[in-house]
Amino acid sequence: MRLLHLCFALLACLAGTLAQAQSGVFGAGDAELRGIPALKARVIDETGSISATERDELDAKLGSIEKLRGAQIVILMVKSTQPEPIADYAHRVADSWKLGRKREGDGVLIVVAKDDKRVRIEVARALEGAIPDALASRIIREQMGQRFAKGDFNAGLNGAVDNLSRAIGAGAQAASGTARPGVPEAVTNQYKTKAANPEAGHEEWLLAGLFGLFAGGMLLTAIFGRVFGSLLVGVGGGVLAWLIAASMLVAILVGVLAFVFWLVFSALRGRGFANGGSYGGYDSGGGFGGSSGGSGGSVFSSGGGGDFAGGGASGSWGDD
Amino acid sequence: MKSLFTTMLASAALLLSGCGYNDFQRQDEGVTAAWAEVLNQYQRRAELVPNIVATVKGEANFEQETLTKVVEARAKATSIQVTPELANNPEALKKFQAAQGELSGALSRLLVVSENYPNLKANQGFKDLRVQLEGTENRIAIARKRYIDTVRSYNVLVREFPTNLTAMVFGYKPKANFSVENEKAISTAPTVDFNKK
Repeated sequence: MRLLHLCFALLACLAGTLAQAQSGVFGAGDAELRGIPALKARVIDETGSISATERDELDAKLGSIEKLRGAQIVILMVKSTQPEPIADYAHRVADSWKLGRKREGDGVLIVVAKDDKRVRIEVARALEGAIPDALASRIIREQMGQRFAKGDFNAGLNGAVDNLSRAIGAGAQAASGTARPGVPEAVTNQYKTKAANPEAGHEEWLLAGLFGLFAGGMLLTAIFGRVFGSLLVGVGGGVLAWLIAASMLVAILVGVLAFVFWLVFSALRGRGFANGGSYGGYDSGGGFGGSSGGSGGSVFSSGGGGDFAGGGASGSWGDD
Repeated sequence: MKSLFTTMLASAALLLSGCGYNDFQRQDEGVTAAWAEVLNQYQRRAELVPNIVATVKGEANFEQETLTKVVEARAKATSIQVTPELANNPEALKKFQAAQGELSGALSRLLVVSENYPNLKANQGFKDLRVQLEGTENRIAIARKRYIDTVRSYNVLVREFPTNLTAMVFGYKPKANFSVENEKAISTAPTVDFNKK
């Protein structure tokens, strides 16, 4: 019996180490790829292909589009995306920036790789209806291709942005039927239902149950004392587990564990409670709003809602 | 007796705090969603193929063999009954993967061959279809990558201590993933010999 336990423990250790080794290997692979630049403006030009005034104008245009339509469009110009194809790099950047409003997820990323002579329009899922791949490809061909070949990046980008904005407006109109441009809120309501909303179901109940158990546990412990209160918590946990897992074995197991846990927990908490409700390690902070970042000031930041699933198109200039 | 009690206490505390029951639920949902997305994108490609075939057929004397291969590969890929449970069956997943890989190969060959037909290349409808196909392949790649990532993190949870104890209690098993060697075969474009006409 003892040997069995030992074997089991060893196995568990091995699995843990393996998992770590595995993630280590995966991490090493990423190191060679190009880094993702910080999202500090709507137009990021690392190549110096457009002048500062052109960049500011373009930035302002994208800003007004966001005001009008709600959608976030960002332009990133880099020298090269090597060793990755532009589609992979653009997706990686878009996936990390998550352009688009939180609920709607309506973002578009234009990536220009100057030395590769490649360009890509990466479209978030919410806008795939308004900007189908074929349209994105056409915009690249008709608006950017020839102008980029001549070296006129500003005109190409402006043309592309105008077309994208029009397509987003038309798409929103089609989706809502009657809405007019200029009332973005009403228009974009259509997208809200589409925004990915993972169904919790079971889990929600479990969370609610656990929360109730927790709060109830505090009360019960205060009223009935530590041991009896914990016993009640154990019973409550068991019932909860029985409801969820519909198995008596699991219920009893959970019940016993909940009882033991609560006994320990309340014993440990006994001291902390006295000094004015400062729950030691519980407010580690940063659980909420951690990723949203710079909400204040004039600095542009992503809405954080864009889900980029590979929509959009790539193209090149120079040869054809 | 006392040491047994302590061990029980310790393991109980460990189990409850780090048991990861919720993590399992969340990640299981995540895997299901990621798998649905993979199927969705493969379906999208399968629906695109008849349009492409029809357009290519309009081009007189298009290499018949290439076309037939695409049609056959599509028939084979769509004949596999796709259910969410497929993801839990390594054998079936392998078959499914092989069939889709075959279609990928046949389609990319078709695209390469189409370069030899100037009329087809200039055809606006074909251009759009081509873009759509490229977009779909790209979406498939991303959906697969996301699936691989979610399954990997789920499997780590199943194997890792202490969550492996929870997995044992509830009977959670590691899920089948897309295999790496196949991944390689699919992601490398097939080579086409232009001299062989």
